[in-house]
Amino acid sequence: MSGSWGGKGGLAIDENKVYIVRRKADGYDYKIFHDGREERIEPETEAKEK
Amino acid sequence: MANISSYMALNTMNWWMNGAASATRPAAWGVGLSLGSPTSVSGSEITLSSSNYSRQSGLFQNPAVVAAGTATVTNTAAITYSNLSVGTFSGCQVWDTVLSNNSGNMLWYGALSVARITQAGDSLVFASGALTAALS
Repeated sequence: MSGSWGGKGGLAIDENKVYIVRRKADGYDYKIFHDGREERIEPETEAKEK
Repeated sequence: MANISSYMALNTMNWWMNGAASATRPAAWGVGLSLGSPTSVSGSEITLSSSNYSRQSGLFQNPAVVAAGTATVTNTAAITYSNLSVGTFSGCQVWDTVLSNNSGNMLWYGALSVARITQAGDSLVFASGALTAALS
C-alpha cells in the first residue's frame, strides 16, 4: 500500500531478566534462566530481590 | 502492530483522532501470566488460583523517546509471582487493573521464547527492565 505507516513496537520481553527462583537441597535459592543457567542467590542479596 | 491489544489500539486512536470517548487512564497496572499464547483479543490469563497464581502489580517509568519516532516504557521494579505450584507459563500481559485474574482490559501482551516450568514452591520473577513497551 502506497504511503503505509509501517509502524511497529509492542511489548518486548528481555528473556535474561525472567527467571525462576528455586530453593535447592543445599538450602540456597537459585535463579534458573531460560537457557538453563543457574545462579545462586547469596543470602544478603536475596532479601532485596524477593 | 505487534503485541498491542485491540482494546488499546482502538482507545489510542479514539483519543488522538476524536473518535468515540476514550478510556480513562489507569491508575495502576497489573501484569499477568498466560498458559497459552496471548493474542490481541485474548490474554489467555491463567485462572485464579491455578498454579497458586495471582496477577501482580507492575510499576513503569514515565515514557521516554529513545530514538526518532520511538517512545518506550519499562518496568522499574521486579514483578514476582511467589510460591507457585507446578505449572507452565508461556506469556504475559499488561492490564489496566491489578484487581484479579481475567478482569479489566489487556493493553500489551507478549510470549516467552521458552516457557517457564515451575515446581512447587518456585517463584517466577520479571526483574526490573524485563518488560519494555514501545510505540514507534
